[in-house]
Amino acid sequence: MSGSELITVVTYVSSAICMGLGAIGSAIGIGKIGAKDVEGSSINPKQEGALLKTMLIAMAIASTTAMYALLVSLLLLFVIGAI
Amino acid sequence: MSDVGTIVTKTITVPGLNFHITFNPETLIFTWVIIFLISALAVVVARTITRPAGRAFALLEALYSAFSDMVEDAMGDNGRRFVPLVITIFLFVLFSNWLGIIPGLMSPTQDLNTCLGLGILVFIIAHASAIMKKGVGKYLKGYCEPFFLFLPLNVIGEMGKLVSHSFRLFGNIFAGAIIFALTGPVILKTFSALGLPEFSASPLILAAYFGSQAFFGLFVGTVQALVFSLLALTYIAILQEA
Repeated sequence: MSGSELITVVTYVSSAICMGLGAIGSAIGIGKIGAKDVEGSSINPKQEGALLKTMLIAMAIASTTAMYALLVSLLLLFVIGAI
Repeated sequence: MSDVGTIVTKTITVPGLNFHITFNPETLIFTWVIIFLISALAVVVARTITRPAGRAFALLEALYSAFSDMVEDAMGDNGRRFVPLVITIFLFVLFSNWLGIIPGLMSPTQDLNTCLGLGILVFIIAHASAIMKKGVGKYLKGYCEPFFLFLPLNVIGEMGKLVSHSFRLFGNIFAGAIIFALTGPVILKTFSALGLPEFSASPLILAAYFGSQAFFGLFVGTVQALVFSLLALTYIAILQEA
């Protein structure tokens, strides 16, 4: 295997690892937020609309780290992989 | 398959000067398509106000009252001037995400430049309105909370807001587009690797096509449009209060 092939392989593998590991935390966080939202709206069904709005914002903020991982893996694929 | 994620660009060099301008023609064209769609919707609905309220008018009125309630919850009575901004961002992002459902068309939000443009717009509006409301001194003092050693952290936090705000929209729509482009070839390759005839894969590919369009186009597109406009509202409200 030549040097440039090795770089291509390492780039693809590392971008996959980056995306996979980076998504774990936000996946757990989003799951917990959803579970708590269901709990809260079953205790107090009148607040369901307000809870839904808060849940969406909280989920969006929890997914921020996954977005950073996506950014890094896209950079790996399309910037370093394209060289 | 290497053409997934590439965007058509066109570079124009100004003659005589060493100056390049790069366009993304597809993004520009589809952005204008969406601007015309929203304008046409607004004109049509505005014409029907005088007559007995129709369905489209009732729908937009419900949208307006839902958003104005949210804005008033977040910012109180003086936030009313941000209602048109938030609804415009919502409609623009929603129509952009939905445009990609039609085969052959591209969502403008699939291009990072559109998302970053919207993010920078919200960033500038949030900071300018905070300065206008609180004055320069109190605005700058807001960066030194809880005490002055937190200044670099707060500045990086503001930049991180801008980056994560625009990358969230771009990432969701772009990831949907990539998965959508990959499902067909992957199913075909699986069938040919198993030794099955290729035409027997067509119902599965059709089902995957409509399923991924319904999920990524309609569901994720709507949720991300709502999240983008709500976060824009939240960023404006946080800077006005703190």
